[in-house]
Amino acid sequence: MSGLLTKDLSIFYGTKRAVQNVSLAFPSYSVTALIGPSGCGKSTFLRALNRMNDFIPHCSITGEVQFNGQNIYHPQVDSVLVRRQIGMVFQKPNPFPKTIFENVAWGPKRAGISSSVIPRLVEESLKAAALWSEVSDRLNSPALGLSGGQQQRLCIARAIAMKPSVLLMDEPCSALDPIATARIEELIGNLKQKFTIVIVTHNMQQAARVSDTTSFFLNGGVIETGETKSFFTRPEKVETENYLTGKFG
Amino acid sequence: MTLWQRIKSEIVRMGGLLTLLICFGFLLLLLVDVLGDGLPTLSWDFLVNFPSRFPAKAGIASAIAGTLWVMFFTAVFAVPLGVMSGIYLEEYASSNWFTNLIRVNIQNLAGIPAIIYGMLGLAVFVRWMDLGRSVLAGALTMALMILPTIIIATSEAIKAVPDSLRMAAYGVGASRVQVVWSHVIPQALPGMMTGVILALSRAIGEAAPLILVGALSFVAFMPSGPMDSFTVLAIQIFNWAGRPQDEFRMIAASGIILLLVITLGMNALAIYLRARSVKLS
Repeated sequence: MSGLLTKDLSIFYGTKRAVQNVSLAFPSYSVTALIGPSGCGKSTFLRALNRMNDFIPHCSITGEVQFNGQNIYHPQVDSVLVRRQIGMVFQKPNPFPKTIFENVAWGPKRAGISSSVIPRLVEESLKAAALWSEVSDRLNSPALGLSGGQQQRLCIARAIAMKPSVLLMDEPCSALDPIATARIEELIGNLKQKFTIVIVTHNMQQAARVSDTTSFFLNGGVIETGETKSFFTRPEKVETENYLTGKFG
Repeated sequence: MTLWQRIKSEIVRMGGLLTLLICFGFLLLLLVDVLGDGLPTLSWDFLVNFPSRFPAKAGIASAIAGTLWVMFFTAVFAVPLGVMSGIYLEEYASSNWFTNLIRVNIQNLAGIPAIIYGMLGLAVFVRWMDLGRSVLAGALTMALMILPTIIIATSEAIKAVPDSLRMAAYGVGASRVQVVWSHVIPQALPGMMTGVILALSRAIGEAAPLILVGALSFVAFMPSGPMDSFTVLAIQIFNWAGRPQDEFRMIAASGIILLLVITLGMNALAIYLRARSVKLS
């Protein structure tokens, strides 16, 4: 069983259940969008997929997240290795306060990639993130000098430099202007040839533009999952239709 | 703005200015007084001579040496211990009733009067560990005294490192050690160093705990190792200021000028480090 899926996944903050009994499979080499109103648990769910919730105090889960047939919450699984294969791009661009080159190179270096191949890996990753042409002449300048959109593409480059098989994106465009957003969306379309992508978005139009599959979250549960085209034109559930037509949200 | 509002805001402004001037005025008075008394006797001879019963020959050399010895060992004990405790509390320790108890106690320890640390040092280091009236006993006492300050400063500096930075590093599959050493500590370093310097500059001006530990007030030799007896600037000043002769009060003022220059210099360094970290981030 290859790929990423959840089985009966529930997530708790203390005793409060934020996500309940979600079983979802993420098709490989395609984009799955998770949509829903604020507080519906979609970001919490996303962070559970590569164990980023481990850092939140009192957060616990029941159920399973399976990656290539292995439950990533099994006690013998090293969460560090999980995150090397399931990368993450955050809501706000968060480059390291280092140079552009070091931002991409840092992860692979810590993972023990030989330093002789690092420059090529950095170039490949920046090219794949559609940033190379803009920064190739200033790889040693500070990353924090880039624009917001460039910083977010740098964060994508940093994530794909680890050669993960899955990329998780938590509202990656919510801090960006429309032009930068369009560039990231275009990039997501190209990246799905190499990666399985799960993206959380507030923006229904964005979900419609970039994703192949869409899941609608409400109050911690999945209401409906479907192929994006039919999902937005012919939702099956009445809650989905109400949300899509703006009756709440 | 109505007239009444304008008057009210003017009253507040004048009141604030007045309180500031009162504080600043006293500081200025102190400085003028000390400089007036101490500058004439502040000379090269004063810095290199040993204390003497003749005020004209008395110098502060052994106190400078003693201060350097004590501060060196204080830093050696307190800085690594304090910084590592702070890092442990913020990055490793889980938050439960026990670590919360420790946190609260560290906050309390930072507010305990210095003389209490002196009594602890006397009982534990001088008597029980039998270190005698040595540089080492004094330094260990001082180290205990400034440890809470260093731990708190380190914790605060680490807390100020944005979580998004940690998440970014964990997100590319870094281990905790890698995240702490490559990202958290470099970001927190200026803040930690500021705290360390302020703690050390507090210790340099303290006399009370060292008097209890048994620092001498008349040392006519250079301490040559951690087990030697010693005096420090603050104690030497305290001793001179208590003498009946006016000449000794003059050289006490000279000693105060020296201590002020050192303390202000250390604080300036701390401010510089903080300003630089603000500019970088």
